[in-house]
Amino acid sequence: MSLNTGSEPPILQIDKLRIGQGTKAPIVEQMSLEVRRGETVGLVGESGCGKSLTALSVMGLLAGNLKVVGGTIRLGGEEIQGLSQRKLRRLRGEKMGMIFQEPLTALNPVMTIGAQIAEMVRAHRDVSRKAAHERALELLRLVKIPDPEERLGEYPHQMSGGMRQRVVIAMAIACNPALLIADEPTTALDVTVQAQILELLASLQREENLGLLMITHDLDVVRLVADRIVVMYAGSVVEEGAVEAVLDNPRHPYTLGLISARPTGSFAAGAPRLADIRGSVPAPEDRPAGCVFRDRCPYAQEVCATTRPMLETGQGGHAVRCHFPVDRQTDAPKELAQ
Amino acid sequence: MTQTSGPITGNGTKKAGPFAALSSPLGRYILRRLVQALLVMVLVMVGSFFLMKLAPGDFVDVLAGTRDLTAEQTAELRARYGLDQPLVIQLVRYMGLLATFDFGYSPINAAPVTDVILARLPVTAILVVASVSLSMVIGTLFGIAAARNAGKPVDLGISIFMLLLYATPSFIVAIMLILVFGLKLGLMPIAGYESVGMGYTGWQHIWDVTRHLTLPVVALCTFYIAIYGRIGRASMLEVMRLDFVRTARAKGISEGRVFYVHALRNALLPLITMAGLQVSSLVGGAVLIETVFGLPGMGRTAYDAVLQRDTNLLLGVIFTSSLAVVTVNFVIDMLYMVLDPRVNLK
Amino acid sequence: MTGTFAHIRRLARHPSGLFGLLLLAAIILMSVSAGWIFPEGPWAMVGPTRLHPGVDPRFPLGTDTYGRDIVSAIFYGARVSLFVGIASAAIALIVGIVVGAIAGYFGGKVDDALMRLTDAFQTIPNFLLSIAIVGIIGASLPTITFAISIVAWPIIARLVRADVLRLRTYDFVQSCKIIGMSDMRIVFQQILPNCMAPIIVTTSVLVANAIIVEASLAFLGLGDPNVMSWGTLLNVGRQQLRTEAYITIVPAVALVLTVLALNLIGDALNDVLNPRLKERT
Repeated sequence: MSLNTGSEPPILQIDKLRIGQGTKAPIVEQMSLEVRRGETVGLVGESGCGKSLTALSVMGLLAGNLKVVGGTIRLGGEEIQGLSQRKLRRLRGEKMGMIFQEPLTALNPVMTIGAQIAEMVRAHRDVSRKAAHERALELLRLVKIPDPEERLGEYPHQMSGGMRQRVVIAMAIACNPALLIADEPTTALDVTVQAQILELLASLQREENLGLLMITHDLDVVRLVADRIVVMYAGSVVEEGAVEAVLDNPRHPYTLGLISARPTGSFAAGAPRLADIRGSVPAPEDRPAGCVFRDRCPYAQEVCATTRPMLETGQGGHAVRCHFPVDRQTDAPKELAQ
Repeated sequence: MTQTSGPITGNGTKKAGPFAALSSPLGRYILRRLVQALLVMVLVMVGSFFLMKLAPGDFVDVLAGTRDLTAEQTAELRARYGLDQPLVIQLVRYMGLLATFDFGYSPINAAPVTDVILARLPVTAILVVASVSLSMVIGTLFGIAAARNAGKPVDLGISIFMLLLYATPSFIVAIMLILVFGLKLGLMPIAGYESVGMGYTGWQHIWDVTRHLTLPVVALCTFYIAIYGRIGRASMLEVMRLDFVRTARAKGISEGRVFYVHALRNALLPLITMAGLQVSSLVGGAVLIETVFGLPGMGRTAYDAVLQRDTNLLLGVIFTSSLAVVTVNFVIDMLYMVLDPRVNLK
Repeated sequence: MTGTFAHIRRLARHPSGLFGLLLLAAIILMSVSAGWIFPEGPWAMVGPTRLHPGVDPRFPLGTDTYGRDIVSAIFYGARVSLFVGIASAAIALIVGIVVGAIAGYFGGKVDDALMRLTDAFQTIPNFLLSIAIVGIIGASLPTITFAISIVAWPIIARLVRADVLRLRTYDFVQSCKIIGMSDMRIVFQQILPNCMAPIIVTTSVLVANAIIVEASLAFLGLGDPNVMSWGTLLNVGRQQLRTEAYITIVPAVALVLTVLALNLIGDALNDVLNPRLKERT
């Protein structure tokens, strides 16, 4: 995997991001992540670990008094922190688009599908009403909605969840963004529809050469669509690397737990089974000192309570934040070579 | 799916006979609402009848009070008006009369009740229409301003102002307006519908009437400005938290467009239902306001009818205003259907 | 009812709710102490006529056109306002709860019929019906109370119906049915206690509205001629507005403060009883 050798800057580059609420303990910290053009990155973790917050902070859509309190977010090499609202708005849609979890409520109930897509086009392109309408039609075809001409005049409640998610996708890619963020895009859908939507996203990603950040808690989804995987726990990255490398040879006890906790167990044949991970994700203010996973880790040692491990990059860009990374071969934690 | 939903969006393309409309969900919905409205009016009629029966003495007694009638004459009159019939027969006859807008004779005006009401209707209609539109616009603007500045001093200021308006009955507002703008400052006329004996015509007349009706309309408005303001603020804040607002923001459209195009239309829906209730309440409020400002409207007429025990006139006013309220509510229901494509037709 | 005391404590900690409670307490105190402080009653012509406020310390708020003490009238008026407010709210609550519970629980034709009746009462302009009833039957405190409550119950009925409709599908109601509990017991013991919060909040609006209507009737000269209401004073003051505006302003302020107190309590109750609805932006 020689992704890091490209001369073009990554379309999304998050470095040491901290997201917090006033003076309270930060919810996301030490969060670093890269997405390149033409690459799909799966961001996984339990709910509440900060996946969605990270995505929203990229879009500049953090709600309420949540704020980015540290770190950098670069979009195509350009820092977006401190940009004016106007400039940030231009980036939303033109450089990046987002798809949300709940297609049933993600669309305005009193506006037609056509109006909602055309609005997006006209906000970023200086085109006539008619041209925007044509583009909307084209987009509906692109996301494979049947009878697109009729659908344009319909309201969201007249469509199924899957169709609505297609409309949301059409809107997100309306202005050819380079980065697409999908926040659990299939979680709220029927299983049969999930596969269709994933297929659509994957094909769009290929055709439009998008950088796709796929947020999910479903490792099967990651295995299916992603090139690289980033595992988040309690606000920061604990492991990342190529999908096969991480899922077949997980090195962080948490990743191992995630894989084993799946109903079908480990991907790798003969991998040890963990019934489930003890306990639950601690709240930001309850995160232990040292390693944040310590309380739930079967391999925790004394040093884990005092020193927070760094994210150490090993072979092939496979990085892990652990003092005692798991080694599949010996089925026991082994100290990382210093 | 697509076929049944066609008419809801208003672009149904069915080309069938006039009765085919009744079999569509939309047609059935309208029909059912009409039947409901009719039932409500029937209940209002029954209510009116019992109110009339509660009154000491009947119509003939009232007539007898104004003219010298012999016992024979009163008996004959009672027979002629069916007052010697069983209650049920009287009720049916009475409902028949009301349904044909025959409210009988008003002794105090020496004219048929229908004529009196028709003469008094315009003033009240102007008051109500002006108050509904004005309070809705101003109240909503206050609500929007408060919601846009939620948590800031502007919001607090508006909220306190709304609380005060909400706590002040309309007739108190009326008296205070008279005191300040009429008596102390001498800026506005405080009684009547137009300047007497000036012989204004055309635009001068319209301006004159507008000046006379300004304070009454303001007095009727304040309470509802507060209601629209409070509901508008709450509704706006709620809508702004919904998912589709976040989607709209993610599209990179301007914050103004997110607020006024996406959020506002959704937030306005509960305010429209409010307007239906307001009309009914305003006609009641008109009794006080028209009395305070000496306006020749339906409310004042009802008050005079109560004071002088003119039951026919009183019940005529009640029936007419109820009919107006039922009609307005029906129209609002239809309007709501156009504005909210999700309306459940069941 | 274990939480009642906690609710009151929370209410007292709510700043505007506390202000409302204090105002209401002052009004209650006035109505209770009226007979002690002004044993001669509100009608006694105790001083010179048209005495402006602040002139004679014996009559801090002045006297009306007949030389009656305005402070005394305000104290006695508080009695009338509170009596009519509470009595008509109580009647409206009973009727509204019964009608709403029956309509919501039994549904179908019963529901349809009761809802049309509710519609009818909400269609007739309420104040018009109230003056008609008072005008036709005659003005006395009981008829006024009746005339106010007969137009007030539909709000409660709608509220209760909506909640009962929602709650009757819940599992706990279904299990009550399975163990053979009677409909009446299910409605009154199982369902109603679960929809008290909105009813309690609306009650403060009912009381406030009843007080306004009573004052309005008295202002129009349709009040009980035997009791001194704030509306009575407003009626007297109306003819003297140019010269003795205080006769109008004093009861107007009393009326507005009372309504304000009840609204504040209502808003605070809403916050206290529905903590999840609280604005957190």
